[in-house]
Amino acid sequence: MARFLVQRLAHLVWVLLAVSILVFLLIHLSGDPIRLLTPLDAKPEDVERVRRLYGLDKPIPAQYWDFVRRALRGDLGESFRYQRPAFELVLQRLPSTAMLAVVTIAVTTLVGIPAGVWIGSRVGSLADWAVSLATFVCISLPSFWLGVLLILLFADRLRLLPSSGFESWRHLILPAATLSVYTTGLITRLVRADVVHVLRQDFIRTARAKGLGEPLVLGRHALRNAMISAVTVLGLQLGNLLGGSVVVEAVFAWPGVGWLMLQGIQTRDLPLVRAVVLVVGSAFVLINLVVDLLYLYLDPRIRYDHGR
Amino acid sequence: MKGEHRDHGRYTRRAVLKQAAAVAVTGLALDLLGPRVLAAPAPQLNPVGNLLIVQGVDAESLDPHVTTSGASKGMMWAMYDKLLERGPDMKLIPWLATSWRVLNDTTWEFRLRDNVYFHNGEKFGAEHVRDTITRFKNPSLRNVYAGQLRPVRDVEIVNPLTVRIHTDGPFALLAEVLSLYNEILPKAITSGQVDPTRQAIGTGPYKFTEWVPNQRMVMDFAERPHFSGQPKVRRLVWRPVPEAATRLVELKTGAAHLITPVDPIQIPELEATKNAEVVTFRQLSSQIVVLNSLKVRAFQDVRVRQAMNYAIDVDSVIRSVMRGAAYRLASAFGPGIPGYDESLRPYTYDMDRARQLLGEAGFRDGFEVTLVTPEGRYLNDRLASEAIAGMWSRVGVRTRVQVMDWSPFVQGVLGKTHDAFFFQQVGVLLDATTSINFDSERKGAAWQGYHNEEANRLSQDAVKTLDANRRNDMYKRLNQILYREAPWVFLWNQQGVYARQKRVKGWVGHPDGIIRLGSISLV
Repeated sequence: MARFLVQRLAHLVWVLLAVSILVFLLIHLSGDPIRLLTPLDAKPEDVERVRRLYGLDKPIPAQYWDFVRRALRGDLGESFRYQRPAFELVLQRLPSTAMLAVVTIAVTTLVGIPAGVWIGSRVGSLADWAVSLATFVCISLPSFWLGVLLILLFADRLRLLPSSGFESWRHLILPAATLSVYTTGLITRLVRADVVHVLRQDFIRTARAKGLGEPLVLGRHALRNAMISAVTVLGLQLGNLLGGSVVVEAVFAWPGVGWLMLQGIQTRDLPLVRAVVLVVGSAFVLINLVVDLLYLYLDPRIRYDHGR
Repeated sequence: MKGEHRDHGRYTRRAVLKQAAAVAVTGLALDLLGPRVLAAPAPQLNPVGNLLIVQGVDAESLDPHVTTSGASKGMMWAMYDKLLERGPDMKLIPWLATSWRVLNDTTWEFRLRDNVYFHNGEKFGAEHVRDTITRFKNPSLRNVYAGQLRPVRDVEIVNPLTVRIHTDGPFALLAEVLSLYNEILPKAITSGQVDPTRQAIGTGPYKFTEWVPNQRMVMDFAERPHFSGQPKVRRLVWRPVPEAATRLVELKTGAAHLITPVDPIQIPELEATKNAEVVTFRQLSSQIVVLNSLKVRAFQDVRVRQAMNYAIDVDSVIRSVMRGAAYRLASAFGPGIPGYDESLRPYTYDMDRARQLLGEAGFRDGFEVTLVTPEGRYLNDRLASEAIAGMWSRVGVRTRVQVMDWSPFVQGVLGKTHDAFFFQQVGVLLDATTSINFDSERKGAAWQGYHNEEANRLSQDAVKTLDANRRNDMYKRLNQILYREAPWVFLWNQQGVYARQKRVKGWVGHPDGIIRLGSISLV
C-alpha cells in the first residue's frame, strides 16, 4: 500500500510537469500573449518594453526554464493582469469553487444514488420510465441555458433568490442547482444500470434465498457493488468541478477558479493559467488517489500490492 | 450587497426625503453653473445609501497607471483625480488644475487647486504632479501608455501650486493625455512606501475600502469634501457580472442600481420595467471595414474602395442586424472627434454605381476577397460581416467571411495579412491621429497600405500644432481626404447603452463609455 501511494505521488510530479509544458505551448501557439495584454493603440515601443518586463522576449524554452526554477522555490509567477502572485489569486478563488463543488457532489450523492437504486430495482415500471426520462433531460440541458432560466425564474420572476455573486448561502443555491442537475442525472443513470446488473448476479439470488429482506439486499449487497463506478464518476466530477465550471461561474458571476481561468485564457495571462492548471491538476490527481483507496473499502478483492 | 437598504434604516423617512430634496436642488444648481462652481466651497451633505454598479468586467489592477480598460478607469476615477477632466460633451474642464495655458511651443503652465488632500492626509501640490509624471514614464512600470507622455522632458515646480511642463517639441496632445491618464498619486505611492496594487490613495470623492478581485470593489465617501461637491452616496460597490442576462436581472431585482454594458436586444424589456430606465449615447469609436491594399491589389484603386462603400446598404444593416443600435457614419470620424465634418454625407447605397466604378477600375468581373471578423468583440460583428459580404458579392466582389479568435485576428491586423477586416477604430485619446492608421510613414497598428502625401503631412503636423482651432481645421481637411479616398468602408458609431434604476439621479453617461459619477445620488 505504501509503495502504491509513493508511486501515485510520483506520478503527480510527472503529470504536473507534462501539464505545465502543455499549457505553456498552447498559450504561445494560440498567438502572441503580449498582443492581448496591450491595447492596439499602445505605441510599439511600449509594447516591446512591456514584453521585456514580462520576460516574453526570451525564447520559449528559456521562459519555461525560468518558470521551473521559480516554481521549485514555490513561486508560480505574478499574474500579468492583476499584478499579484498567481498562486495567491488561485487560492483566493479556490474556497468558493470548492464550496460549489462539494455542495453539488453532496446533492448528487444524496439524490442521485437513492434514485438510481430505487428505479434500478423497479426496471420497466412507470417510475423507472419517468425517472429515466427525467435523467435523460437533466443530462441533455446545456448548463448555460439552464442557469439563465433558473435566474429568470427564481431571481427575476419569483424574487426568491439572488441572481449572482457570492455573499451568503442563498447565492449558492442557483449555481449549485444548475451544476447538480447534470451530475445527478448522470449518477442516477449510472447507478440504475449497475443495480440492474448486480441484481441479476448469483450472490443476490443467494442473499434473497437466505431470506434477507429487499432493503437489506439492496442496501448491503447491491448498492455496495454498484458503487464502484458511481464513486469513480463522482471523483472525476469532483475534479472537474474543482477546476471550476467556467460557464456556470460566468453566468452567476461566481468568483471561482473557472471564471478566473477563463479570464486568464482570454487575456493570455500565462502565469495565471499555469497556476490554475497546476493547482487544479494536483487536486484532480489527489482526488483520483482517494477514489482508488475507496475501491479497497467497496470491493475487498481489490489489492494494490499484487506486485510484491 | 445585501446591506443596500440597511443604511437607510438609520434615517427617518422624513430625513431621507429632506436630504433627497437637498441633493436634487444642489445637483441642479451644479449642472446649471457648470465648471465654474468647482472652485466654490462644497456644500456639506450627509451621503446616503449604497450605490451598486455592475459592469461586465472587473478592474485589471488597483494601480491606475497600469489599468487600460474603460471599466477600470471608471473605478479608478472615483478615487483618483487627474489634472484635467472631460465633461459630458467631452470638452476639457479644470480638475486638479484650475487653469492651463501654453507659454511657448515647448512649455505648458498649469495652476493647481489649493486645499486638496489625499485620503492619507497629504496635501496636494506641484511636487505630486512632478513625481506622478516621473512614475508614469518609469520604464520599469508595466504601463502600456507610458509613451503618451514621452515628449515630456521635465516638470518644473514654479511654486507649490504652479507647474510648468517642458516638452521636447510642440506637443499638442498634452492636455488631452492629462485628461485621460496620469492619475495624480501621493508621495506614499510615488516613493514606494505603499503598493498601489494593494491600496488606492487618491484625492477623489471616494476612498478605497476593499477589493476582492472578480467579486467586488468597495469605496466609501471621503470625509473631506471633494472640490466637485461632496459625494451624495455613502458607499460605492462595483461588481463584475460577465453575463448580460444576469446583469439585467440584477437591475430589475434591485441588486444593481446602474449596469453596463446593456445588449440593445434587452432595451424593450428594460423599457417595460417599471423601476428602470435606459440611457443611450453615441460612442466615439468608428466601426469600419479596413481594406488592405498591401494584400489585395484591387484596393489600391480609389474607385474600387469607393465601390466597396457604395455597395453596402449600411442603413439596412443598422436596422436589421444592429436593431437600430448604431448611428450612421459618413466618414472616418464621427461627432466628438476633432475634424468631424457634418457637411459630409454618407455614401449612398448604389449597386449600379459600385459596378460602374469596379468596371472603370478594370474589375468588371469582380475579384475574390476574404473579410475577416472577430466574434463577440464588437456588437453583432459576425452577423454584420456576413451582411456586408453578401452585399459585396452582389456587385461581383465574391466575399468569404472568416471568423477569427481575437488573438489571431490581431496578429493578422498587425501583420497586415487580412484582405479586409471588420474593425473598430478606437483611440483612447480623442485625437484623430492617435492610431495613425492613415499615415504611410508611421504605419500605425491598423494601417494597411493607404498612402496620400497630404494625409501624411496633415496628420504629422496636427500633433505639433498647439492652436486648437488650427489643429481642428487640419483634421477636417484630413477627414475630407479620407472620405473621398475611402481607405475604409465607413459604417457606424455604435450605440452605448447603460441602464439604471429610476432612483439613481444626477448622473449622465459620457460618450467614451467611462463611468464618471458626477453628482450621482440615490433618492
